[in-house]
Amino acid sequence: MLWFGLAALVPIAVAAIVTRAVVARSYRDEYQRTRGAAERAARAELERLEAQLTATATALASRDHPVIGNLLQELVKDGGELSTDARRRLREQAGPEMAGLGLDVLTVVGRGDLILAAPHKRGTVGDPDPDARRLAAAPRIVYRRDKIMGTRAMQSVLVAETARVAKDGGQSVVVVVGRAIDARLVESVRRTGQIDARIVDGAGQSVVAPAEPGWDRRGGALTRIALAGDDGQVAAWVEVLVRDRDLASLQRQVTVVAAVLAVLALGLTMLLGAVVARRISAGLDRLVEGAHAAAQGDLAHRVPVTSKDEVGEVAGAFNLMMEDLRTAEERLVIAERIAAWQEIARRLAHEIKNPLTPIQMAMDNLRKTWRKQHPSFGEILEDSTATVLEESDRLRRIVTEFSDFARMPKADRHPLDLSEAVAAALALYQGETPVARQLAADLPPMSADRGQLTQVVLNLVENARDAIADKPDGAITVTTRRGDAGDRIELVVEDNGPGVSTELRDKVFAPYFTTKHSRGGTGLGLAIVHRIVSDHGGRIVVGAAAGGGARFAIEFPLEVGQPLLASLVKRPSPGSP
Amino acid sequence: MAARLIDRALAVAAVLALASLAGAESRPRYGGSVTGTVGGEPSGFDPVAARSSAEVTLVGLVFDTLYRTGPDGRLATGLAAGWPEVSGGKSRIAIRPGVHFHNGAAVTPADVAASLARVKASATASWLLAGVDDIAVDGDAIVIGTARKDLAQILAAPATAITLRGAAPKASAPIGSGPFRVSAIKRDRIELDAYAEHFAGRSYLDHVTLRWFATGDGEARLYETGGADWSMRGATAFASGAPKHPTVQLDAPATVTVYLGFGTRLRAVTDNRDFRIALDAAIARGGLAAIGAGERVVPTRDPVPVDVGGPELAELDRTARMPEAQAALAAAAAAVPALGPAVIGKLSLEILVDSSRPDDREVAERVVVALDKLGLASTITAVTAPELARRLAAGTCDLYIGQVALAVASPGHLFAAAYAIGGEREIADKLAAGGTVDLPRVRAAFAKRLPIVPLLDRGIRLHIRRDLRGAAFDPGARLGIADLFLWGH
Repeated sequence: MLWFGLAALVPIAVAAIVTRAVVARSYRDEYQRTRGAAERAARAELERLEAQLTATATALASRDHPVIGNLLQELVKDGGELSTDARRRLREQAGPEMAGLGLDVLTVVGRGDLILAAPHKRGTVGDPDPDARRLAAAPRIVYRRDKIMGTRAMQSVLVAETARVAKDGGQSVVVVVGRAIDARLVESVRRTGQIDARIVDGAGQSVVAPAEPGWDRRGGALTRIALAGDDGQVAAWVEVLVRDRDLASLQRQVTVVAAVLAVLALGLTMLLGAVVARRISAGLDRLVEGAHAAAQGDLAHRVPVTSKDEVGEVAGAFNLMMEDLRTAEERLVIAERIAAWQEIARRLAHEIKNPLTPIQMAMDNLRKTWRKQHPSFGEILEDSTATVLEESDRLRRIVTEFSDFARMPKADRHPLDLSEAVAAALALYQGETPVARQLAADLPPMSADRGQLTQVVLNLVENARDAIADKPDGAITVTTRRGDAGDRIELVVEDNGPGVSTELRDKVFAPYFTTKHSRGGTGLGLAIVHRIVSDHGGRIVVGAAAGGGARFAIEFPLEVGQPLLASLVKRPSPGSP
Repeated sequence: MAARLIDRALAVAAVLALASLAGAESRPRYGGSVTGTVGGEPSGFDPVAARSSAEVTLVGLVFDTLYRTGPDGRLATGLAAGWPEVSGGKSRIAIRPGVHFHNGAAVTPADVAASLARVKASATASWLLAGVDDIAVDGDAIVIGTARKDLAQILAAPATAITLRGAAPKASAPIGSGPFRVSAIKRDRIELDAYAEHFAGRSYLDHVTLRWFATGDGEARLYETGGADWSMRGATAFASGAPKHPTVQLDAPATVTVYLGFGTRLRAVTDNRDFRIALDAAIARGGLAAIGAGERVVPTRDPVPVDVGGPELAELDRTARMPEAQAALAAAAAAVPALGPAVIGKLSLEILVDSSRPDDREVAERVVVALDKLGLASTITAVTAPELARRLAAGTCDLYIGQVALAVASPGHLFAAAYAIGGEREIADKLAAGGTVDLPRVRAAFAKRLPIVPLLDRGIRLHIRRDLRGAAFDPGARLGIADLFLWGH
């Protein structure tokens, strides 16, 4: 599932990287355009300011101007001197003139470089201003620090100034005009969050603070426009900062969005994977359950097909397989039944035919001797009838055993201790046959039919007794123990008789298979054992004992119905047949 | 013939009728209500504390002094019944009988003696009675322990006005014996009613409203539109405007001294004489001549106005004398660490100005420029006249722009007044005690001590409607409002 999630991340990561690259490129192009536009806007604002100042200074420094013209006329009239009333008129007119022209500085300088009017700094009237004529000599815009009287205190401000000389009739005054450099100059340049601007003087002192805080912490390209002072040196800088934090921010946003998408995709994939896996595993679980059922022989078990996917197809195939198996088993059962009946019929015929021959021969002999009136007829009759009776009895016994085998009752299970049940069964042989007991004392209880289990022990021990009948040192060993896996109990009966050849090991559990015809064996003993063991969910194998005899090993599951998936019956020793 | 006689009779009748009418218009009429100004807001009515032109004008309207100075500068008796009679080193002054205060109480020699005793005890005006041993009541007269010849001149000073029982008048309802009594005191005006029982006779006008303004053109605007009957700050406020009423112009001499005073908030700095010298030298006074609204303005460094014999401002003093200022500042810094070059920039002084005297603001700006030249920051705070007086008294002031109207036209007294304003009572008393004053020496000492820094002397240019007559200024630039009368009504 994790791999599915990781697989989903890859396209998102690729998309994020590509988007970042595209965004970065577009942004940089736009950024350069914005930066250029900001610089142009700042320069345009400066040019506009300087043009206005130049025009204002030119208009003011004219004899046609009502204020300066009248002033010049007064000077001409009074021979260069200015009466108190004329000074007062100038003072009264200069303030409104300055305000009307939108100026922050208006200085009128007369003879001796003395200030005649300075409404922006009235306290300097009468003081000398040695810079005015020098400024007027090179009529250009200069930037410099000046002090302007504010509402309550003198304020040091950066001003753009220019000066012109007004002349008339041999008299002249210098008119200095200026505008304070304040936020108005950069307001049109600023864009909230994107472009900020500030003005610092040549000493680095702030003239116009940036509109937004954190100027020094902000990234971006700084464009500096120098404002020249009257000495030609830089008096101040207009600094325009175009933020590029947006790019980083944008890229971060792309990354964040990609990361969020990745997490969502991962989560979604995991969720979907979990759902799909759950569906698949549920299907597989049902398949496993079906396999277990099949292993236990429940061929009627079917796995529900809940989807049309691969699992559903597998479930369908499983069901088909189970149906085929069940059909095959039924066919096999029928075939086996037929074969069994054939075998039984053959055996029965054989068994019945064997007594019939002596009976037939006895009866023929009796008829012949009767016809011939054989003198020994009476003796012959005695022998013949004895034979007939003996063989009839044999036939009856055969029929009875057959009937018993056919009518074997269903197992009546109860919890029991196998060792204890085996010991009870072997008690019947006390003193007759040496039977060695190796019975485990701590076996867990198993569910079994005690009578049938006794029948198993007796049949196997009886079989072993027959096997060692001709051996003076014959020995039988019965062992019970817990299987190594812990899920089963083992019962082993072995002897040191001739053993069972490899060819016969597959046939010894078939009904009516016997090698003891001479001893009257019916061939049903081991078949009954096999039947009982099978009814208890166990299994039995025949092998060779360590001493070369036969070894019958039985495994019983502790839990009824629990399949014995692997044979745990140990071979007594390597190299045995 | 008859027709000719009739014509002649009609002509004579017409001439007589016209003559009768002319005779009727040529006589001052009683009555009428006028509105005018006094050049600013008075900080109070206490004669002892009266200093500015507005204050001394108002004191002169509400209170009487023993002697009065007429427009021609001549002394006349006021509450005194005659001139001081000097005998045995003492001066005896008879008090005019039958004079009453506005509340009906008689003005007694005891009131006069108590009033003069309060003057002598005051910190601001005691110099006027310097050298006076004692003041006693002698029947219908008072006896003052001095034989000085200028006693009548001194007792014409507004600060010596007589108050009820010699107490400081109540600010909300001052009671004097002057030609007008206060009928209302409002935020921007004082209402006065003629006092019919005034010893010099009832004033012509029934009612006078005296106003003040916080803006430079408020007064002229009111006069131009007919809301006032005279203005001391121009006749028009608008360009090419004309006043509503035909107007005549009257100028007063420049005898009101505008000065820079020192408060006590940063006493270590502002009391330092070198600092004061530095500041005095850094002030360029030349431009001060252009302030005002056309009245005579004379920049000065001397407490004696030019118009009463003071020196003309030296050409050198028209601009700042910065080398001298810097040297004085360096000397000051040796005594006051806060004035050291490294820390002086941290210092900021506050300059208080009276908001009802707009020109003071411009004067203060010149001080700001001077302080800036010295490296000192400063701010200007405009407050009302009472608030300025309160802050001065409370010691929460660094510098202020003050105004002192001429009290006594004697150079010694004027120097004494300057020292008294600066809080240097002993020197003031010594200078006013009489005797010969070595003016060059006093002037030199003043320039070194600078209890105040005189900046300019200003007069008044009165714009008054033509039909309001009788206007005249005394030598102290006080308008004789009590003598105004409406013509032709």
